[in-house]
Amino acid sequence: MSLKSYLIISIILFCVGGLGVVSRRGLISILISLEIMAGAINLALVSLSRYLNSIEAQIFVLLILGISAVEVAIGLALALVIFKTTKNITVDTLRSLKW
Amino acid sequence: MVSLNDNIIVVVTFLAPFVSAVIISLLNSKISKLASSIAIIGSLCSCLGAIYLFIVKYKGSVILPWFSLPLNNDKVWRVHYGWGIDELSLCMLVVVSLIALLINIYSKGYMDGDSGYVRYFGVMNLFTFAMLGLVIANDLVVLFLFWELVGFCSYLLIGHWYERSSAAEAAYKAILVNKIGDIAFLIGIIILAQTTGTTLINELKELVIISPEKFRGLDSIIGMCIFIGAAAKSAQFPLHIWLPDAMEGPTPVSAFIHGATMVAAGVYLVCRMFFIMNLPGSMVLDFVSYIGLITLVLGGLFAIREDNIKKILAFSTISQLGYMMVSMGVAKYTDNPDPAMYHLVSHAFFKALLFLSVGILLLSCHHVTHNIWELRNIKVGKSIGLFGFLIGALNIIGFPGFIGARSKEGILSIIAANGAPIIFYGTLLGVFLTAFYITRAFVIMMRSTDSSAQIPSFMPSKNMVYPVYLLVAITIGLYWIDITSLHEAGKISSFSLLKWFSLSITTTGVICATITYYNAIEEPLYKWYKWPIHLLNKQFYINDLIHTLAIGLVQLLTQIIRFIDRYFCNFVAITVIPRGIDILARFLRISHNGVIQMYTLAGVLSSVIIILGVIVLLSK
Repeated sequence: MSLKSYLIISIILFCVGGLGVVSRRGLISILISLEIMAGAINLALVSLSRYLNSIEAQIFVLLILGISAVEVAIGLALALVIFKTTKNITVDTLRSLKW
Repeated sequence: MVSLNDNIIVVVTFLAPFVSAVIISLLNSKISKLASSIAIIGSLCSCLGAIYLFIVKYKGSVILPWFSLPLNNDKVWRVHYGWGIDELSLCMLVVVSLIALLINIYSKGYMDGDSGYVRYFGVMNLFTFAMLGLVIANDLVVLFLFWELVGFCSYLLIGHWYERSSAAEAAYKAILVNKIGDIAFLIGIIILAQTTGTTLINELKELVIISPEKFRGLDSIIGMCIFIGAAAKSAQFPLHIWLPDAMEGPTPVSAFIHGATMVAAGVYLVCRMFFIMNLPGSMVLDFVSYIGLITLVLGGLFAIREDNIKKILAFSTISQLGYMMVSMGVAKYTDNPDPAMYHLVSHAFFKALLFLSVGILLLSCHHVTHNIWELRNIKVGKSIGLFGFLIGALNIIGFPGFIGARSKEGILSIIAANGAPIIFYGTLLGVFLTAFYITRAFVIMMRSTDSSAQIPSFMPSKNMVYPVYLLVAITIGLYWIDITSLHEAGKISSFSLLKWFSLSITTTGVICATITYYNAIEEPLYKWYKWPIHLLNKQFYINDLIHTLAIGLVQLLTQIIRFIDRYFCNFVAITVIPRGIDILARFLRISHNGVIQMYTLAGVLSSVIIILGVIVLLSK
């Protein structure tokens, strides 16, 4: 498999994740979609590192793994608080920024 | 020849009143009585200097560069200061400084006890300084500076008793009407500077002779502008409205400024710039003579119906100034404006005499009244006042033996020789009216009714009386003394037909007035002619017309601006702009709907667009 195919898969995964962020109703589903996007980026970086003989991309992947773990933790904490206050975790109840 | 000493004397003559005005302004209230003495000393110095220069026949000029302005065709307009004295200036110098001295002596008695004593003498001397500067100036810009200063001092002096609203309004009116003339004069000066590059009077005189083609096309305009300036100062027909109201000032002010000198400044200017007005192809002088004729007749008509003695004298001044302007206009054919100047000099003396005599009468009754029907009831001080008034009246009607007769005959003879028939007959009408109104005033004031309506009065001080006597002596004496070349203008043969004709018209006027008013208790003309008298009473409604026009113009402007403000400015500012912003805001508010996924979508889409844009740009 060539670099091009890996990158194409990565792009397709990224778009799937992006569509999921925009169109899912549940907060947990949005977080899962965000993880899919992060995974796509990781794939792209690793394939670049393998085919261009660069070690820095792998280091960057490690950083992204750590950051996405933190982000999921905070996201789940926020989802817990939202559930406690509004008793459901759909996004369409969070409308207080309306004019 | 002109020596350094003579130049110094010119400077002393010119500056002495200014120095005394400055010293007076520094006086404090404790030594305020000194103000009159300082003023008298200052005007005495300048009078002696002027008489010395006159006797020595000083004729010189000093030209010092002042500033220069670039003109639009690579020429430079240089303005100089300094003086240029010839016979005309000498004559005016003597007249102005002599009358100033006499008025200062008179005012010492007249303004005694007035609260503005110091201010009065300071401004009077400033005025004298400005008038002297005006007559010796040889650059038009310097002349204009003193012209404006003279108008300003006149404003201050008319409004001397400024707590009276009538005096304040009269001062305001005087300065506004003078300002119209000043603007026209300035326009004339600027046009002159643009065409010739200089405003020095002797250079202009040479230019007119050497290269008259520079003025072609503009000669009428320049002459007209200068004449309008002179007309405002000298109270010619449409711009005469300020002079009757200027009688709100003290009587010595009226004598000096509005009888003898400032109003003569216009005539002096026309005489100085006569070579400009007399350019071939300029019809200014015809216009001048007709305006002078209208002023002469109108002044006489209005004076007939006035009861306030100072206003009678004001209209008399207007009429006599019209007389001078008629002779200036007719001098187009003789190229010699001297008769008008001679009448200016003699008018200065006898008008000052008339005003000062009236001042004696008014002060004797403590300014209780200015009405001639009531002034006849004074007992003390009446004889001196009426004596002075009689001599002044004999001058103004041209009784032989007084200087007024000589100057009047001089003007009449050149009008008879050169003027159009309508001007000649109009002038004769003016002569009749002059005789009529002055005799009316004298007869009414002389005939006292029975002692039932006595007004308490007291004797005027010696200060006031001596100048009157001196002026009487001058008006008689100058008839016989041949002291000036201007005197030639008044010499006509002793028993000419014209002289007898004018004398007979004058006598007719005197007899008519005496018959009408000798036994009158109230104004008898009312019984005879109703509506013409009413028209004359209101001075042909000229004042009301100008008042309405001025106010109407301002109100029209106000209404226009109000309309624009209400229907355009308000519309745009209150309706259009807020509505527009509201519509725009409603349109933009759609994106703030609180749905988080829309926000996320917007973020994603914008980042996509930005990345695509960066890729496209980088690939170029």
